[in-house]
Amino acid sequence: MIVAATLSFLLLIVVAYLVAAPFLASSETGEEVAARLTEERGRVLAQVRDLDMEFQTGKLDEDEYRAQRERRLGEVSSIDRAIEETLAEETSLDAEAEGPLADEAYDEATVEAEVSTNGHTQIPDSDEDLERVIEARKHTLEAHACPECGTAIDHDDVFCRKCGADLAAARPSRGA
Amino acid sequence: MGSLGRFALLLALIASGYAVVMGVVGARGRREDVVRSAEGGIKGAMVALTGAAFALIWALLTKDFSLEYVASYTSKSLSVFYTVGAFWAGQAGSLLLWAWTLSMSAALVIRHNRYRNRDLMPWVTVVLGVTIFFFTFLVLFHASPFTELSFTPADGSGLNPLLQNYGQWIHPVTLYLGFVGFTIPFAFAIAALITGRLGDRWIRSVRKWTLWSWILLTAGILFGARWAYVELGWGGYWAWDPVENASLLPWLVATAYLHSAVVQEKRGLMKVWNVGLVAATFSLSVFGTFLTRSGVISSVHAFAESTMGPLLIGFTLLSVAVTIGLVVWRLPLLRASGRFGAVVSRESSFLLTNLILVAMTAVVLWGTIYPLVMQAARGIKAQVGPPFFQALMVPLAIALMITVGVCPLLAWRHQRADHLRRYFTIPLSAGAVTAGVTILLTGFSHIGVVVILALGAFVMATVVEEVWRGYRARRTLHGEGRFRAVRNLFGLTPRRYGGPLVHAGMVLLVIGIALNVAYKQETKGVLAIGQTAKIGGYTVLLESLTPEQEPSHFQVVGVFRVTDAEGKDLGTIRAEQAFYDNDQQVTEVGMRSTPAADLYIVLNGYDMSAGIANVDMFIEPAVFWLWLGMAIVLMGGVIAAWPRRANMMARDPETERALDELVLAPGGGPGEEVAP
Repeated sequence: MIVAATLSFLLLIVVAYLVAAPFLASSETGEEVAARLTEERGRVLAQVRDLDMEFQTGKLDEDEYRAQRERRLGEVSSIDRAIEETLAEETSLDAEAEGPLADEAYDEATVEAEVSTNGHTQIPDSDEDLERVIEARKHTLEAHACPECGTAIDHDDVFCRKCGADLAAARPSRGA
Repeated sequence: MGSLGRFALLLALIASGYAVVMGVVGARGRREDVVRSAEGGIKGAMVALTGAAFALIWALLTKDFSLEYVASYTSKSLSVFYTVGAFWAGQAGSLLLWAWTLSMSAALVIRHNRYRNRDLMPWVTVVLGVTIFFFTFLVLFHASPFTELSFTPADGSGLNPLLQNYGQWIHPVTLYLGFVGFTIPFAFAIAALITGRLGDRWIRSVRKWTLWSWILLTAGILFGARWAYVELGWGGYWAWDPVENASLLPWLVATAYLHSAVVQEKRGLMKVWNVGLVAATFSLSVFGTFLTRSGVISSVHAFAESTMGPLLIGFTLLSVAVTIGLVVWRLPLLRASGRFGAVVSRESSFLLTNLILVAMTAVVLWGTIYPLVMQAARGIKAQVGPPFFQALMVPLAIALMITVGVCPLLAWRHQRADHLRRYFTIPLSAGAVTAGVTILLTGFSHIGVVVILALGAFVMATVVEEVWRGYRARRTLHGEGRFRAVRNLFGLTPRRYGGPLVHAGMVLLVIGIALNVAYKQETKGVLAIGQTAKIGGYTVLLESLTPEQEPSHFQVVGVFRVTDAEGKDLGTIRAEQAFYDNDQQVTEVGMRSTPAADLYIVLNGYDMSAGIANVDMFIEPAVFWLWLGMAIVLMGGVIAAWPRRANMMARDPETERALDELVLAPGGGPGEEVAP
């Protein structure tokens, strides 16, 4: 009886702790975010590999292959950018939820724009080249951030939603 | 320990209820800390249910007969292995197992998504919380394993001897894990609908969950079939029993989903369909529980009638209604973002596969509930037997085999005619040759077998071709050696090449079933000691009948000597019939297995004084291939679902380079160069 009562009490304590802890705990550290993003990066790269195989065995036509590959590479560069940002400063979870990853910045329209401008780009033939492509995508993405505060912006925004900076003035030429 | 169990269940109920409320509050107020606390509620429910499970295991191991459940399913003489296995031998325990495994999956998925899918997680938590709450509620108020008896009996009634088989540790557990696992994709689907994030992210996030649940459900069903075959002694493995059907229903829908999810991932199509299939899989899992536990059907599997029927059917209907409501609300967002390709394209054949699987589901569902409907509507006791299912399922299975062969070879969007001809020449020839040879050997007496074998050869050839094309691509485009190419094919693109293995296994399984049904032989009769009977080229001699007294039961052992057609001695087979104290009677099948056929002997009755035995003998052709197919299916599934090491790779350049063949080799082009 005493054993059962003790164990019951212990269960109660553990459950209470699990429920209460989130109100007391600090949020994710920068390194944790980066580790997670790196894992995510590997996952997307694996999908690129899957696509390559699909194309090579004749399951995908070239346009489709390019479009999908571009989109995945775009995801990788968003992730890279997020990793850099996180390591640069300890981001809070809220800010990150609005960041380039969660906000699915790479929607269909962006991809189409990318593909049309890059439609004739050579498919990179080495890991270094692939990394360069990813790096280039990242710069494009950075062009989609407010130059003042770094918040993600839509390409047709006139003012930054967060700090109100005049984006029209600072906007680089399109199609970079 | 009964009090600990009851307290833990109550705690789990409160914690999961808290998770539901706080999940909604956190989602609406966008309060991350509140959402995390809701997730803490789910973890708390998991801890509490683990406590309850521990309490039950403890009570079982200490043979605490003051608990009704322990007294009903164990006895002093029961071994530890089966004593723990008695956990899920009854209604209350198996519902606790359900709630417990669900809470563990839920806690795992929360841990896995602690930093990702944060926009979906509040609602995922809510759906998981509701489901855990519901099942904990059932355990606590309708079927508690912690109910105390008014007196403590000296010994328990013991475990049903049929359940005293290693299968008791595999079949129910894998099946429950499979059922329970489908709650996770359902929770994500609902969360995606509520948040309006209906891209392919939710599908990608639950891909592994779905795959593992499918594997476990497949394993559960097939191990159940094997258990029935070796233990029940009626010479079969599947009887279209309502509860067997109850497990097949979510399996069929989940199989359809695994395929249509790929279409959404690759082409942005079939979004409503996918949400529908995920919801249907979940609802059918709960519906299966309803069939098993409400007492509305009679079956080997059914538990006694209970009060929870209306609750279970209500929960099933609720999940369906919520899904339909959300889908209607979100229809504008569920428009396809891509377009369907040509009639002959990968996506179209995926759609066809889906339609066939859904048609199969409809057949099985109707056959299963028809007796219930008739009983309710007209008060007639109707029976739907195997002929109904076979008549409808065989043509559908044949159609499915055709798509299994054709679909993987097609390209997305549109298929070039010249490729089509090249890819299908070998498989079609293989099918035609097999058909010809089979007709030469057996004539037209079993035309179904000819069709299945020809299709089997066709599918096998496509599988081999598919793997061969991948292998060639790796060899020529990446310059890999033979061994490395094979390893990378399955290691780096496991999803693509695990699938064909599953298909190959399925084909073997279907061939095994077709041959078994077509060429099964059976003789039943009385044999005296020293007398022989002939079946399928074997001569079977009843050598002896021996009574044996074991601690838990009395048994009679029949020893049969088998000789083949040429008179060669093949050794003996032991078949047993056992009688337990609680009047349970169990037969232990005697078997001699070869890849061609099993000789299957059942001792059905005896008269010791006269030295005669009532013996059923079966020739069970090709059952070996069924089990081999099962092993290959599971292996292919595990290859496809196995966590990839590459995912964990750090991103230093060295490691990146080691992720070999990320990009096309110079001059790499589309399929033409590599096709055989």
